[in-house]
Amino acid sequence: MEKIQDSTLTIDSADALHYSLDVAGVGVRSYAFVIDWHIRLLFALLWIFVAMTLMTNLKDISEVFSENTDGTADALIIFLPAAIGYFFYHPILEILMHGRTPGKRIAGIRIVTDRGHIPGIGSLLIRNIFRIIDSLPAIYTVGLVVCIFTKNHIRIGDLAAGTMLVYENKTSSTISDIVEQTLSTTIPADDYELLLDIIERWGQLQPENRLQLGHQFLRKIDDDYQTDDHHELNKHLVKLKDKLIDRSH
Amino acid sequence: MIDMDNNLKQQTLENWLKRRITNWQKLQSLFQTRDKKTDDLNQAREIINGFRSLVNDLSLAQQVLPGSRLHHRLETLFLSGHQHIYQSPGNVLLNLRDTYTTESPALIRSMSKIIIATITLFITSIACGWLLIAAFPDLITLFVSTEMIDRVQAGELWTDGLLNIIPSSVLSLQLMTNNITVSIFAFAMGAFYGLGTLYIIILNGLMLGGTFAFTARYNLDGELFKFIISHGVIELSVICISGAMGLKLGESLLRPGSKTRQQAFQQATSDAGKVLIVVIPFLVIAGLIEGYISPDPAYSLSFRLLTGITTGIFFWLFIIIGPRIFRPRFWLNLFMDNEIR
Repeated sequence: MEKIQDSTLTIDSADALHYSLDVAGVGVRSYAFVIDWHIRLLFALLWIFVAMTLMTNLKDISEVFSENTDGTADALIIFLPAAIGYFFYHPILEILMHGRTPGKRIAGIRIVTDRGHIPGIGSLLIRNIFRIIDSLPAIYTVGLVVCIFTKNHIRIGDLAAGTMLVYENKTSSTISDIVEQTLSTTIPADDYELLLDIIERWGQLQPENRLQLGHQFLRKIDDDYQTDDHHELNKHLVKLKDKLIDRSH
Repeated sequence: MIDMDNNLKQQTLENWLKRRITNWQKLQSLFQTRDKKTDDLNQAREIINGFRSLVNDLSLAQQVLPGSRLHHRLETLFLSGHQHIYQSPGNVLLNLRDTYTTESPALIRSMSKIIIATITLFITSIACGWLLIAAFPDLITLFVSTEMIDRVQAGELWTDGLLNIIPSSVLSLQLMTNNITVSIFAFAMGAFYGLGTLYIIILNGLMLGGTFAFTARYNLDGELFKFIISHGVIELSVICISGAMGLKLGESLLRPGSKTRQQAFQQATSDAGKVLIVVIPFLVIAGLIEGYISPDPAYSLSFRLLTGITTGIFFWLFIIIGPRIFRPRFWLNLFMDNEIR
């Protein structure tokens, strides 16, 4: 996921060292919310559908909806779990997943306190109670507006709970892998990051764009590299990549 | 010359990394242990010392390889270590017990003024609603649905025969959900400088007073009182307390005192959260009474009065004093003290 950097949260620690986290902005927050919304809606609909098919013949659905007392118990079993799942999705999952939800995970963000720690249950509950306000009058208008104008792009719920959303430091590689990789190259660190990025995203890029990027990159790290020949480019990139893989195994 | 320099640098880097890597791996596994309640002193020492050396490594990486993967990886490691060392362990159940036994009662006692003010406001609104509808009966359409008006004009309360339509269990559940939503709303709306809370409290008071005045015209006010009294004491108390918390929220924004607005707001929400987590579960009890006792014509007025008053007294004692009221010794001490005096 491309990081569109909005701002950073810099925290001074007692160890005379400050660390920084990239604050997630309105866009990525909305993105995560929309994913979550799809998940909980699908879950609720799925539950209602399955429960209905199991409990009644599809013909008798009208009976479940009627005000007839016989139907109320059925209606409870069908709608209550769906409603609980739909309305308590955020608090439950945020607590269980330590400040994440599936949507936030996909968007690559998580909730932290203003010290960068995983928030406690109390904070998570408070931040969710204020969804009532943030979602007023419809489609999270209040929350969105507050988000746009606050420093760390937080809605009222985060303001109240002292939390915010930051980008996950997404390095899936283990320390030893990274050390090996660092040792295996003489390219400066930022160029090296660029190379890994290019390799990682090679498949997703448009052929013309990736060729252009590749040439640019090789010219940057190697003054002798002047050719525009695509076969040369491939050879070079593959050589660099192989070298990395050779050393890291 | 430059080449040699570079070679030397690479060599140094290599040595450093090779020397530190086992340390980092060990720290990672140490920081990941969720159970912090170990009394292993050596392990604690290992974590603290390891963290210190990690701080050195990180600042080194920040200088030598800024922005590199290694730098980011060490930063992540540092963050989890920082959290491991500085965040209090926090046992959820213990915290909850503290909230119930000491924190919430103390907070409620300290906020007695604003709670009394909210209750006064609510009662005033009831009186206003009563006067309003007594003077202008047509305005009742503002507060209740035409369906309810029709039934009252036909000489019966809308609650009559309620149990024939909805079973008690479902009714209780509906009422609980509704009341919990209203009290959370009354609290959260306080974020609009307290105005939202004022609106909810005043509107509910006007509605209650107005409805009484309206039913009184058809001699049904006694019936309405009979319906409300057994669950109403707890229900209205909880809504008033939630409202008081909402007003406190508004006050924190208007008059933050020596704190910044955000700090005051956070403090107010955290206090209110502790009170609400004690108070709101009582709406479950109120909901059960409202579902099983209130609509059931089998219960007499005296029984309803008794239910309302005892649950009300119990509720206020519990939230002001805390679960101590269940201990015989608490009452014993109270009376013994009096005797000595």
